[in-house]
Amino acid sequence: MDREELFTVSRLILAEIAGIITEQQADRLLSWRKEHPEHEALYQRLKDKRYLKEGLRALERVDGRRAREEMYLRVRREKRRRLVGWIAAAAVIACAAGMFYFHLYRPPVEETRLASGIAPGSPRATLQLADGSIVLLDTLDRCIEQGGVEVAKSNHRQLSYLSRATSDESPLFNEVRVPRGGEFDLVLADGTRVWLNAGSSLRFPVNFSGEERRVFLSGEAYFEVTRDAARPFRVEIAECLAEVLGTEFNLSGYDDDPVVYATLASGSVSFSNGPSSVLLSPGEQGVARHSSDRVEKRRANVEEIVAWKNGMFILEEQTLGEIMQKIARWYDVEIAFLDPLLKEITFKGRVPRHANLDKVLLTLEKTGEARFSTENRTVVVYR
Amino acid sequence: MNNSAFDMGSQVIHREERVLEEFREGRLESFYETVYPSMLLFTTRFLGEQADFLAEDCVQDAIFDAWKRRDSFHSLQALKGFLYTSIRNDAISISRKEQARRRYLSSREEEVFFNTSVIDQETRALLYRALGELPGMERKVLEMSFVEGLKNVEIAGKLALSDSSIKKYKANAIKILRQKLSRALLLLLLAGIS
Repeated sequence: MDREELFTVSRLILAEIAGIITEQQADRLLSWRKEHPEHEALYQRLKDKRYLKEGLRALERVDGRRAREEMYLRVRREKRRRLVGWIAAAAVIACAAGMFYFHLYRPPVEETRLASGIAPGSPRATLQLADGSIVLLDTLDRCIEQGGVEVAKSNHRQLSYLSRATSDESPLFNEVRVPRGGEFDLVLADGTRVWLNAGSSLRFPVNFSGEERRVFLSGEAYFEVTRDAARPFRVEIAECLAEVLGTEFNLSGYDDDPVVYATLASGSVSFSNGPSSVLLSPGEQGVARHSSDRVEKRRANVEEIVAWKNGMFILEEQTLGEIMQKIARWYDVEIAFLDPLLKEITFKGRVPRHANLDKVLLTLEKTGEARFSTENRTVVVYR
Repeated sequence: MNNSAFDMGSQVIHREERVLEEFREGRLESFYETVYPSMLLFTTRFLGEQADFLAEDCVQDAIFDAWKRRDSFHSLQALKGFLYTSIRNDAISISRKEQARRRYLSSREEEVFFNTSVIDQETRALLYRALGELPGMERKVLEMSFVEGLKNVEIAGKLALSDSSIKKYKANAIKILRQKLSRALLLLLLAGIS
């Protein structure tokens, strides 16, 4: 019996159950039943309502989401592994970000109400050096040398720190600031990669000396930390601290957000808020509110949370209020809700981050739940 | 407030043809929604109770292998066939390791067990998806009839509807199912398999 035949037989049995089988098909099913006693036994089982019901309930109970997230990670690693063989490691991640999703969608832009022409964010950032001077990273085209560490732009949206020698002097600190509407990646001196989202900044030593690797974040970033069991990597964000040895995780804590979120993609992270701390496993998220000194732990959709890094907004059961906050940062616009109740509507779906603002708003409008208009750099949300 | 799905390419109800296409493009949502549950249940059954904790790894390994050769599948059935076969091979080697070979006395029996397990799983998954595509009342009535085995009068009593409206819902549901199924069956007939 070849494989395709199996699928045919299952369709014949279903047609029989539904009472829509033709005479010719019924003959065919009958001859299959006679081929082997097990065939007949299966047929009888499938005609048994209780068996069928149990089977449907079992299907209903399977939740493939966690397995799916795990597969996305495996696929990502595989793609990276393959690329590493023949492209310099620095170029790898730049390609990987955004290569997983393909979008053929082109919405018609005909309404003039949504014709702001506001472009999405792009690589834009400034770098403050240890001596206080500020360099605009968009136009930086030379190497900068500070205390034995060479800073270079490896491509249009990435900065690398290359350490020539380890020094025991007190570390020099740099700070990368990404404005609203921008994004930037950097590779720290220990090889750790950091993706900075719009409206974020990271303060870090140009070289890591001593017993820990400590950096300071405000806003949102995705970390891919190079393993170094001897020197834990610590990120301070608001009142919270995330501590790891080598792992991938996302940290988000904007100043206008009363909560800090730490979401783990792989490895393990200890996440603390004042006196309390939790140990996170992959797929878990630590939630720390400014108003308390506790940390909660919950399951999270990692793919959704790190989508920004891969060039997508994924909106899984998010409220319009949360969605518009992200849009405000990415497109550098202000948001005005005419009716505050609109903030509570929840949406599902995905939007490419590299689309114009008008396209994104039109997509949201298609649900019929809310309407938008843009005036200068303000988006008005109404019914 | 309500929960509305807006969509830029990925529909809430995934059509069969698109599952393969998306899988090949590296978008796994529809695959994990529609194909994965069947594969997991199949594997659990195939591995038997002693080893069912290995089921998830077994399925994931097969899916990952399939993903690596994603360009070689020309239909969703070909992809599923590959998955079922690799899961079986994996399961047999696990069973051999655990010396639980009673189920695989001869290769003929092994083959029949494999075939019936696939058909079993596919039939239930097909019914599940067909029911899922019916409108609310039609689905309810048909589930009560097919799955719970209730008579029209009993369904009417439970739903507080008249006997004739139950008949109407049922007829409509059958009509929808017939359209969906006959298309699937017709395609197979045209392929010259029948």
